[in-house]
Amino acid sequence: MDPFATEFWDYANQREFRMQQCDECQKLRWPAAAVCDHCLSPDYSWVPISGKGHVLSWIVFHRQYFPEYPALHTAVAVELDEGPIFVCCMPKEFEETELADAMPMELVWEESHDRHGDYVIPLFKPVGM
Amino acid sequence: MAGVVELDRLKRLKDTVAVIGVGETDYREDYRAGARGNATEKGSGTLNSYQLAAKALKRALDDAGIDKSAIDGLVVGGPMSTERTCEVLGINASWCVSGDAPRGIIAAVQAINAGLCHTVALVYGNAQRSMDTAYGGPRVTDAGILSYVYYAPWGMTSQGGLYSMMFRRHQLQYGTTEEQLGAVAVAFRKHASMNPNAVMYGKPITIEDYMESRYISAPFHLFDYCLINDGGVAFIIQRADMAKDGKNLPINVSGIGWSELDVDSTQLRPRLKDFYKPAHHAVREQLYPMADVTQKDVDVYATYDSFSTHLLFSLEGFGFCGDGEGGAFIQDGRIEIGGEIPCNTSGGMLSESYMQSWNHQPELIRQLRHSYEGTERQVQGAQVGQYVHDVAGKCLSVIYTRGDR
Repeated sequence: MDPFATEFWDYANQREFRMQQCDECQKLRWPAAAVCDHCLSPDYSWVPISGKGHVLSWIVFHRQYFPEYPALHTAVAVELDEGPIFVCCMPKEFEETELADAMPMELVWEESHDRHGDYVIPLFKPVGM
Repeated sequence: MAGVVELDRLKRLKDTVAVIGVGETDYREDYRAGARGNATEKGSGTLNSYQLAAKALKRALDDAGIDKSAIDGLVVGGPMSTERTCEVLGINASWCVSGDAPRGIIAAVQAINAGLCHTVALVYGNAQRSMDTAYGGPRVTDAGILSYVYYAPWGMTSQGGLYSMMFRRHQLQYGTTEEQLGAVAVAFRKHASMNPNAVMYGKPITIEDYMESRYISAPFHLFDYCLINDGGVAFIIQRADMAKDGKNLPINVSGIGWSELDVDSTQLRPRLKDFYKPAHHAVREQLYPMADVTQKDVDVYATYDSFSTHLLFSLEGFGFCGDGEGGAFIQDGRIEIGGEIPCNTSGGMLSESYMQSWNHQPELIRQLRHSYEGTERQVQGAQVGQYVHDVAGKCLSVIYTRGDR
């Protein structure tokens, strides 16, 4: 993993949902990268993101690709209130939730583990469910 | 900045090079080499990319009626290295690059006009079925496109998943239905049924078959996905003044265009917000004026079709119909041979062969040569052909026209 992505996951392990913001022009960027794609400044801060957004699109895998994610598995694109689009999935108990365009979504943390060890992963679920 | 080009300079390149020869391997025969005519097993390792490319090149040279010694430039596509390709083919080129078919064509136009070479072989071989190449799942590699791997922690590395997500967005925004999208798979399969070299020759499907087929990544059904098969493609591009005296009617490269949407590509913004259309718009401002044609003049159209939706989005983006009208536009045989705008007339990558932009080129050349005259496969009187390439927002396009003898 690149060092900037590693910083994102280090925060995630502390249950902190942060993205890089350019110190010079204040542009927020996702995914993590070495420089600001607007002004090329290498200086940035990891700023907290609200964890609020809405559904832009989703798909349902009917074929299993990953041992951690048996079918049916839903991947969802959430447009965050701060602007970036965050592609992720929902907690298992929400896999079959009927999604809709612009449905409000909120961040939820889930603990998991794979062959590399334990980790905490940011997921999104429909607000109020 | 994307879309800003010097049209007067571009126009000078119109019709300066022509395609003089095409060749392909035996897609169907190689695919159905399993027991009882079934598909060969993935990972069987029976074929090799260089062997497939060499076979296609030999056929392209024979078609052009030229000797290998006439080749002084080379474009190498697929998983092959340029050095090993030149070594295997026995060619010391004076100019050589790697790339997909449209990048290769545009590069060849530039190199020939720069005087670096005059006769370029563009070759591709890909034993992806024999090698069991992964385009999704845990084994996938990014191939330079980060969104193909970035969402693995959330269980999504599927390229089909990314395009399916784009189609869902189109559904939400415009009300497009799965049944409407099914017209693409049905039309391409119909075209494959006219093409004895197509992997899916003799296997037509109906819209009912499409709707009943299993989902892979809903809303995408099985038939929205391209094939995985082995094959090779080659074609020869030559300086137009030399091509006039050749064996075949030369098919001119009359228009080229290129525009990319890479900013915010990993977070899928250009996919889900714009369907990559700003890139389509920039390209159409380049190549239609360059070729001195409009959408109405295009007789035969081919699009990169790793997934069915490439056609839907590009027909809207290139102005064959309005935004959001694609679902209705592709109905009633309009995209089939005999229709208003025949698309992917060989069966494309969905139903002929997954040659990653390469198999579309020989098909357009043969349609414009009228090679299928007297059969149902010929697009009657075809004069202008367009190839549209839009892979993850890297949009390139080529206009071909019939040349002079």
